[in-house]
Amino acid sequence: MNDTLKSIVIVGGGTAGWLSAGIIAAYLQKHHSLNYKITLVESSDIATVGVGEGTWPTMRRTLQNMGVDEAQFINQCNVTFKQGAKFANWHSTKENDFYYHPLMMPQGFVDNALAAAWLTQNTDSAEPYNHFANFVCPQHALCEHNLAPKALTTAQYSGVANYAYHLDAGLFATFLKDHCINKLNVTHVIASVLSVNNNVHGDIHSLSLDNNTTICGDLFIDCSGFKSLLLGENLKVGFKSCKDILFADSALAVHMPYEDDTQAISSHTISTAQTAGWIWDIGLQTRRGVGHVYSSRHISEEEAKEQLFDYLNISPTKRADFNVKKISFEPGHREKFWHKNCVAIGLSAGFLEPLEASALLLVEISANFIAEQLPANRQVMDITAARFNRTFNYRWQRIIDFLKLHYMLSERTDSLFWQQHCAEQSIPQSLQDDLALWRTHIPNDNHFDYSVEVFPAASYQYVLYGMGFKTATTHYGNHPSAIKKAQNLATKNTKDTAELVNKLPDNRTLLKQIKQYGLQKI
Amino acid sequence: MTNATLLDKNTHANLYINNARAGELGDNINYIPIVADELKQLVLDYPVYFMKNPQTGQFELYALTGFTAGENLFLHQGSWRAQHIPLHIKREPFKLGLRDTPETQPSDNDLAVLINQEHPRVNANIGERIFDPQGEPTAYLNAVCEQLMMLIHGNKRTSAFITTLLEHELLEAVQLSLTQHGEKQTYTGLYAINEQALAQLDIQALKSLHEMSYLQACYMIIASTGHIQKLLNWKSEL
Repeated sequence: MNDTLKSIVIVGGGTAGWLSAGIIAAYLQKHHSLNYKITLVESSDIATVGVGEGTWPTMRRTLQNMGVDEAQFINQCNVTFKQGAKFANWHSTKENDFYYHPLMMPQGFVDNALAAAWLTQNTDSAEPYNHFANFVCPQHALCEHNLAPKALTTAQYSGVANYAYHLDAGLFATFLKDHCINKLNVTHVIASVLSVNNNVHGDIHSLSLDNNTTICGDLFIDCSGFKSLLLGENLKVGFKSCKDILFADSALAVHMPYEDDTQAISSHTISTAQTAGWIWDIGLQTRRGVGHVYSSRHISEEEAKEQLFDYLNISPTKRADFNVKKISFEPGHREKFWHKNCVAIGLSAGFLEPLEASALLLVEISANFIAEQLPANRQVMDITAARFNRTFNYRWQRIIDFLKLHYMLSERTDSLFWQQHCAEQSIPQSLQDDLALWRTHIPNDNHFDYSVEVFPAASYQYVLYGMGFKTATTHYGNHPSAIKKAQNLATKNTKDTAELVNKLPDNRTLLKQIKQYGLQKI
Repeated sequence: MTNATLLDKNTHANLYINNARAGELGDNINYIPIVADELKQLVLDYPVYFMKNPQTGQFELYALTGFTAGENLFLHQGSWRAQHIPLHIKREPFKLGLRDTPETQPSDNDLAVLINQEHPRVNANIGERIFDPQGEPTAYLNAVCEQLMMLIHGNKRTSAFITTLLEHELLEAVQLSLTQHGEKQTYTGLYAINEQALAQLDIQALKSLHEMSYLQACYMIIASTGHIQKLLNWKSEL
């Protein structure tokens, strides 16, 4: 029990597995000498799901810490820059209904002066909203113009505007695999797990593989996907469904070629609401990845497919040419994520739906937690596990609430799906409490329990005010100095926006230049 | 690039090049690309920094002459306040180009002198002649040709120098702040030698840098940045 933790075994070679391996290996390599071993076991015959073509800005730090060259990553994983998401028709079915959830903070965010000014000037507006995001930061405009968040002269991983990535998950897993094996000393074993062997305490002792070997480990990381081979199947940790809150349980995905190599590459995820779900539209370098995520309890697969092709403007005669990939899932997560000497990361821990691209983010923060707080021996592991579970239960709950927020603020009544989403009994009490508070207070970071929230208060503002939610801020009136400050910030934002729109190259141009010249480290 | 045509002794027989120093003649630039071979002379007068070429993102070496676009503080009452003028300025309005598109790697023999006839220095009666009455190149043109060759070879050596500096992580971003008429302004996009990193190089790295004369170049560039104060003084006199 008191032996030092030496061997970490990761099961599963998808994005979650290799990303976890890379994060943990890079951290340990930087802080310790080589008295530990990281092994990743992957089966050659299990297809990876490859969810998550969108990341969070955190991925920049993650890759940089792993020692990845950003230009190489961009060139090899079909990467484009992502500056946020554009939500169309979530609020209503009107033609020009959209709002942005950009990645930049509102100008002068700390005291919410701009948000207060925006709310005041919009109380009597006949329009449900007039683009909160555009009023408080330049990124709405950058996205509308398909501009890149940086220039060729900007150092790698730095941005003029905050950014994340769109990527091809399959290529990304391969890229990470090479990096982990060649640069980070991760041992790669290609074999299927025949059986999981436990010791008398119920811990996982070893895995018997189909290459007639047995692999022992002190800590096992389950990245086996929906199967949840170790945590779910072997350790019998239960699953907590949230399908009564978030209804989507199916996705249909297609690859859509560009019309030609001059078609603009969007620098944001386009999410367009449908009658029983929404369609994601992600521009990579060589193709678009488009998919319909929907609730199978509300529409059939055929209807979902029809809506997807209608969105893509594909005539019925040509629809058979497309290879449509279907993914079914139960939205929810494990009751706990770390049990005994096994921790689940990725789909094995849970999956809600692709909205707001939280899947890869959870992989990053889970692996970081493990790397930074790696228990020294088995004896203290239960304490770390309890903390991990507390933190991540909170995070999953926050994500569920935040995703639910996108739906339940809608004024759409055109289908049962939207009506049920807005019904009070489907809304978690925690979210109802938040909303009650936000009717009179602009969300700020002090409203949350954890100092590092998955979604910062700014994200809540973008969604709330994008969806036409109103905070009555004027019950005490606005102080003249606050009004003056807001005017200055608004002027600054208009000026910054014009400058950036003028200065930044478009997404496609920059990606082409990076292919040719790379990006400097400084 | 502006229109440049192949220099021809018939077409261009009667052209003059005005080499007076003036903003209107194209001297109104606030940074000038230089080659490492010029450092020994230029560091006596100019602050030298690295900047990224916006078209390629690659680092190049520059002499700083002003702080805002079009501002050349070295220009003063019709003269250029320095012992040496960078080759990039002296060779105007000429440059080198390829005679044809060669199928193999171009050699020096494939290079030809081009002239930008729209350059403000080009005129019909003031300054230096390009060709003498017999159609032979003047001493001036021969000197320019030499400068052009120095630039083209110097560029290659300079990029090798910069590549080595980057490999050793010897460059760092610097910010210049100056207060003009009570308003603080910052200039970004400049990179300098990271003195701390240079001081911490191991003996092997130092030896290899020394053998290439890169070490000497680094210290010249470090010393040159002191000229910023002179530029600031000149600016405050405006």
